Amino acid sequence: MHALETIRSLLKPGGVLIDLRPDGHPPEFWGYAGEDPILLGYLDETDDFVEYRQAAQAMEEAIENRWFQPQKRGEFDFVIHADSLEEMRDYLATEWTDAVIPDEVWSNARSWKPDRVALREVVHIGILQTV
Amino acid sequence: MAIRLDPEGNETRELFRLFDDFAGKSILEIGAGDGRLTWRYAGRTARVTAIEPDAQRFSRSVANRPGNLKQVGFLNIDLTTFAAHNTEKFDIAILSWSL
Repeated sequence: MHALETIRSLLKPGGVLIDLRPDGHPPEFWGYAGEDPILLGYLDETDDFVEYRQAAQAMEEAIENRWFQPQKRGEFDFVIHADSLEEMRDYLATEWTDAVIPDEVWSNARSWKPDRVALREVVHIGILQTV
Repeated sequence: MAIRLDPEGNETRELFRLFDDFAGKSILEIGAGDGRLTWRYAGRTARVTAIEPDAQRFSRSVANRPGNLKQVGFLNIDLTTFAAHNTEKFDIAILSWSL
């Protein structure tokens, strides 16, 4: 059974589905030296791109099948802050296991010596209602 | 300082801008992880059932539970198994980065 059809079966008539997921663009590493942020590069995700594409396709199917009707949509920046790129690497190793910090990002961090780093990801929110 | 996740509060600000009809509602959160988002909206709802299949994240969600949020039930279970045994219908389902 389609996961979204299962979810629909768990909702009351007229129930609401709130769908939060990354928009699929590579997350950005930013370095902060003083107040000015510097783009260090992009996170390399090995598996997630496929999953994001599959998720978008699954939602399109659910709408085509009239399980859900879109009501509203928006997006926001989800930002993870760390005091160093090493601290960010350790966090990703446990929480985002398919992600790799590319050599370019390490090289830029060594050159610019940021005081802290941030990983910025754009996240989509969809509000849908059962049909 | 430790890792900080969305200290700007962008996630809940955008969520509540788009949808803020949580009062008195029953919520099913799917893929609740360590409860980060759950704890940010649960105070506005009547009741939350949050499911998470990963045992480590589930354990952290229980450990991180704020003392005043008794209306949240966390289950270490996947969606298919939950649906096979559940008899309740919910007002709202939240796919928390889990589709």
